[in-house]
Amino acid sequence: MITIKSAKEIDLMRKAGEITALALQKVGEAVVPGVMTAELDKIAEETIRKNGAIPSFKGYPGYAEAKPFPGAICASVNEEVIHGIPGSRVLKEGDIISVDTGAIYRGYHGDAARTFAVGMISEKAAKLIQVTRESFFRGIGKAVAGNRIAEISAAVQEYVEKNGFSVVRDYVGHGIGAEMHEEPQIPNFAVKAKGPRMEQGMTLAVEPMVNEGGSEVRTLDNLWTVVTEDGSLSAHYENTIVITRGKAIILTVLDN
Amino acid sequence: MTKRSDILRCRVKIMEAAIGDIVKSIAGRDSGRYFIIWEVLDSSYVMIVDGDLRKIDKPKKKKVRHLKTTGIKAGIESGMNKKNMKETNAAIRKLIISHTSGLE
Repeated sequence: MITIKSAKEIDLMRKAGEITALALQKVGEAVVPGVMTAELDKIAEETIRKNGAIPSFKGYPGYAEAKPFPGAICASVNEEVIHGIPGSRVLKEGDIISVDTGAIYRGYHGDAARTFAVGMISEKAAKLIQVTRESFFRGIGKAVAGNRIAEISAAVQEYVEKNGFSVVRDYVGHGIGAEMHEEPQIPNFAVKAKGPRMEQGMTLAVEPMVNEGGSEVRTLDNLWTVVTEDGSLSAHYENTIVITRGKAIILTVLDN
Repeated sequence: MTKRSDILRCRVKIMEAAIGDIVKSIAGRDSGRYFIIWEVLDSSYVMIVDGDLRKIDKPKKKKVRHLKTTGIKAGIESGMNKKNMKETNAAIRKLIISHTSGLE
């Protein structure tokens, strides 16, 4: 079931979004060669808790036999697409790191992701990050009340493929609110089903995951971390948005 | 956090199926029975056997979307071929029984 949020609920989600964005900003400032991903996780968790919210990823139940997620952030480096587990890995010059995090504020979720460059990165990696970010904005250009979900999907895919990259198909964006994952699903590629029409007050997490090479991915033995099958780089960009009659409003930004 | 796609979960799982995997038929007159993948024809078709209804000299061509993977890899051994048909069919029957007896 797709839930339509009241103005009051959206206000809470805006606050959750702001805290999420702040955590990402703090993490982004700390991304330098030599930093351990566990340190980034700590920064995010502290920021979220200090602002009266709860890190929503920590303890999130896994699929099948996966253990609950141990971190407040997903730290996915280079060929890791999503759900990288923060730990002892040390970032080095030229890496790219996708950081995904979420906060629960008085029962409502914010969810966002950014891909950061570690020091100087290759031109191709920089383009990948830029295209991933831009594909999100192309997608939400279609996120208007009355349009269908599939229009977001098609806009993301078209922009990504025009730039010579591919979109991940096994994982999708999602509705969000009192739960982290609500209906509907938001694929980043065109599907036969047009998906539901968007209505004012729907809140969605739109999140293109873009691979430098092929779109195929696989899950590592930790049952969480998803990597590109061909080992190519992958980037991720995500925001929580609210649908209005005009342009969608991004909730996971700082200057709300 | 990203959601695993429900739209594709089923298809993706089946696409990973390879020779030797134990699968359950979910469509057709053999629906509900367990088989082993004998040969992969392409991304949408496989040949399946169970040593009983479908013996190795006449495997059944089946659409992968009409199969459900059990996640069990039984493995086809090198001795399992048409030369020793009888033993192979028996071995396949045994493999399926031993691996699926706990399943519903």
